[in-house]
Amino acid sequence: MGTLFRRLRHLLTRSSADDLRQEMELHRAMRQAQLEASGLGREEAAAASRRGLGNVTLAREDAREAWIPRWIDSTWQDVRYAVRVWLRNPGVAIVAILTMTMGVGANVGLFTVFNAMAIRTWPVPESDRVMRLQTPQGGAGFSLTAWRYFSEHSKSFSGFTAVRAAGTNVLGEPSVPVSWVSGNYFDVLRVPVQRGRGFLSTEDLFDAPELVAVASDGFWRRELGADPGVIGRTYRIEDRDVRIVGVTSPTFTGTQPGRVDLWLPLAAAIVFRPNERWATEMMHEPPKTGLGGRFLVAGRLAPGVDPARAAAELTALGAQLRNGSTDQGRGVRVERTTFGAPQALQTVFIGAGLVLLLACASVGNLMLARAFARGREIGVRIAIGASRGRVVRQLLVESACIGVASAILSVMLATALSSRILTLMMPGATGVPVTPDATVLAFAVLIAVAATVLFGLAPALHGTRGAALALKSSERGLVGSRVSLRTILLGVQVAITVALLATSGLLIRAVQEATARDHHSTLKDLAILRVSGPTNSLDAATTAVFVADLTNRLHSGDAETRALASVPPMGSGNIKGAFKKAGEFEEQFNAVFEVSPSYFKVLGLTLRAGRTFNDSDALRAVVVNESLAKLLGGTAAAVGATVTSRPPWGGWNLPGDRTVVGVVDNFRATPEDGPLPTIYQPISGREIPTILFRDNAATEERLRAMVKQIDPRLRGDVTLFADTLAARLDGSRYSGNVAAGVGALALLLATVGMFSVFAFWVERRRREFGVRLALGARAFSIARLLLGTTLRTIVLGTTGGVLLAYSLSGMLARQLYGLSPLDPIAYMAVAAIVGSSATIAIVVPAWRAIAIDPVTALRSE
Amino acid sequence: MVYSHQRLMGLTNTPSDLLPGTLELLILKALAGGEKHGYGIVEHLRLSSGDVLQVGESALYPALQRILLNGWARAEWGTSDNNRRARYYTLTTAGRKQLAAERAEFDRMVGAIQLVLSS
Repeated sequence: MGTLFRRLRHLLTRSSADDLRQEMELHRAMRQAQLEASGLGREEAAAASRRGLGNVTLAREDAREAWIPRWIDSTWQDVRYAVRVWLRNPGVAIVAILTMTMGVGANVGLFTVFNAMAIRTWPVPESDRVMRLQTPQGGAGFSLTAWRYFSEHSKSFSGFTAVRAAGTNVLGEPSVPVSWVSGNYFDVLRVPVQRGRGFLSTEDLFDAPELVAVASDGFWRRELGADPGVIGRTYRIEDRDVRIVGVTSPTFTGTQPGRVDLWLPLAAAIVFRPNERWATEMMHEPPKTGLGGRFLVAGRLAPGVDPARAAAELTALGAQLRNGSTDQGRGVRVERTTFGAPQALQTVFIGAGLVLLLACASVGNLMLARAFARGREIGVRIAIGASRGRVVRQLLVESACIGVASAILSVMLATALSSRILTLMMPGATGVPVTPDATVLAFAVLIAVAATVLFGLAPALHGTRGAALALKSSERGLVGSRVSLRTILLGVQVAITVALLATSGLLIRAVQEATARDHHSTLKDLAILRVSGPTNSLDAATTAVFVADLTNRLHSGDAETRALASVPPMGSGNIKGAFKKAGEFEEQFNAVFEVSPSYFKVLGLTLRAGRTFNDSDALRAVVVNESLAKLLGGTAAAVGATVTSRPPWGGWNLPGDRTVVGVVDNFRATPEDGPLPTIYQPISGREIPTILFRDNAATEERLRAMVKQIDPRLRGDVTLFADTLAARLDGSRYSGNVAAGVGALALLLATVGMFSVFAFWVERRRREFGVRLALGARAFSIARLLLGTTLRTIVLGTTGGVLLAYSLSGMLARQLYGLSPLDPIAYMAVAAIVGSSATIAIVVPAWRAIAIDPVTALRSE
Repeated sequence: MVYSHQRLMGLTNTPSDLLPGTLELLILKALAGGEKHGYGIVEHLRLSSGDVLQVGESALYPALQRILLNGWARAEWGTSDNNRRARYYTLTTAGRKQLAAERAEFDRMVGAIQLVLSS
């Protein structure tokens, strides 16, 4: 320890080198003086004293080595030299750094997102002891019964909290994102609160709801003016006053991907959303035998309990709750509290990896070119006595400078752009803090080191091979073999470029084809009118009246072109239900729509058997589609059959028996639609439905007016069904554009690479071209010769790229909408692009080749 | 390596089988008698050994650096008798301890060799 301290002190006091020299000079002077005193002449004394010194340089080096180990010293020398070298060629350095930053930056940025979503856990104390629960079926929603049962009977957890599963939880206009949480949320999770407190258990009683709320730091600053006296203040939202009892710390951004401004107790939902099924169910939950429901459950492990044991206990409790009924799952699982990585991340990561490889190949080629250009310098070093390893080390240090610079830039870039990247991939994730931390930095270092080795080692080894020959022959560089490192790197560049361009081409073609199909759809003029306004706060009775009014008005007039539906076709929303054939016990999954009788005509679905429902059926009749009819034994057999619907997740089915009165076609808007068994029920008046109509301006106006007549507070928004269809292609369109952008960049780099190879060959075979030209060769044949040297590489690279694209397209199958992964148009376009860039790359070198004066070429050595 | 320079230059009569580390021991002993500069150390060793040990600078200074690194001596610039600038080395407490330890070790080694030679 003492020596380390002394070493550092020695390093910091810069005078030591000079000191030693002075000291040794003085020593010599003293010896000379003494020799003179003992009788030698002045010059002889001087000479003798100098001899007496011994090998000064080695002595100084030995002295230095005592303080700093030799390898550190020489590496530092290398670093200083590398910086000087790069400063002399700033252009090359900048190109290399920018290229590597692209490759490393893409990966670091994605990793930052991955880290924020899948590695970091909730921002609460000891978050590794907090676990999220998952049902045996793999879902995340539990029933309140399950939550209460676990809370009461589990010994491995010190507490459970229930949170309403994400739906659109907003209040007010403009909307405030809220989260409905159980009263013990803040206690169980130990949420850091900067003012006030969390909820008390007395504030979450279902029969006596209290309108209290905890605000986020952001909300407190934005909407409450960062008022220091905010505790106890009321905030008006949706015509009610909510009392603020606490403000969370800025570090707590919630336990959901989406941003939350206010936390309210579950019980408060009964007041704000009396109309929504999940809220009313909280008050009188029907007896459930399943664990599933609409609430996310998380709990804090009791001290000393390990997760596996906890999971086993919960599975057992779950089975108890279901009265020992057989489970079709793996039991209740406990998971770390991460936010959940976006789905597309894996594919994008692969893309980023390819970009990194491409960047390494490009920069590697650059380094190789430079190593050859400095062939003479390297030859001299080796001739003087440097070992090959020493020179390789120095070249590696130069590469490392590039690597370090690009790593620093990448981290800066990632810090700035990661939140944008996350929003692009997962638009709802507004509440997740995406900032680089130690893990990200470690990853950046790792990637930078790997990239440096990748692009630096091979060129360094290659450039020092046979370096001694460089001094002898005029031909700078290797006495080449056909398959040199240079051509391999070029091949890699071409392969990756082709892969990226082909993938992009496939995606773009897929969108093209799907859009063309959409335009031939018979539904292109279908329009959807959604009614919005303070309907969410209307109670059941008022809503029923509204719906009845709407239905009456709609059915007067041209009934064939208008219909009501609980959810528009291909719309989002809770449309899953389950039905059971009467007398059997198997439950099937199906989709359920509440529709008016004219629905089928408007959508162009033909009745295959039976009839649609009418008013006299009194809500006990349903119509099913062909897929479901098949489950009932065929179209003919289905009519008159009885089905029992039961909501496992509180779906749209009304409980009880229903009679099937008719069978219709399956609705398939797009070829890739799966024919899900569907039940169509009459409108029940439970919620205000959407209005479907064949679009024209007059109809739209009349409908809007009608809505306003019912209630002036209501608003009607019209969207075209065609837009919904188009929107599903958004993902592919976006991916295609991104791939095209990256592909264009890759193409640029590959073209530059091809150019450098052609230029290299022109230089190498200068004399040969001179001879050919002298013998009468024409420009075209020279160009063809030049192309021939790299043609094999380009063709092999292209083939590799096509294979790569084909295997990648397997992963993108979902976004290709039925386009064949071997779509000829896409590949032909790519071939044409690569071909033309090769042609462009060859122009200037070929020009220079032709301009070779045969006489000077032959004469020069 | 330290001694090969001298052998190359043919400058010392140091026997080739001088045990490694002995030079540092000798320097520490030289400093035990009071602070000295580099030349002073060389002269002391030469005189006290009856002209047998003549240490060259190329051996001396690296050894001095090692001694400084281990904290066995301190170095300061000062003025010599004939008004020249010189760097003076002084033994530290740790250096005294090290001198005693190395001396004991050296005696043990020499004793062992003598035993072998006289058996």
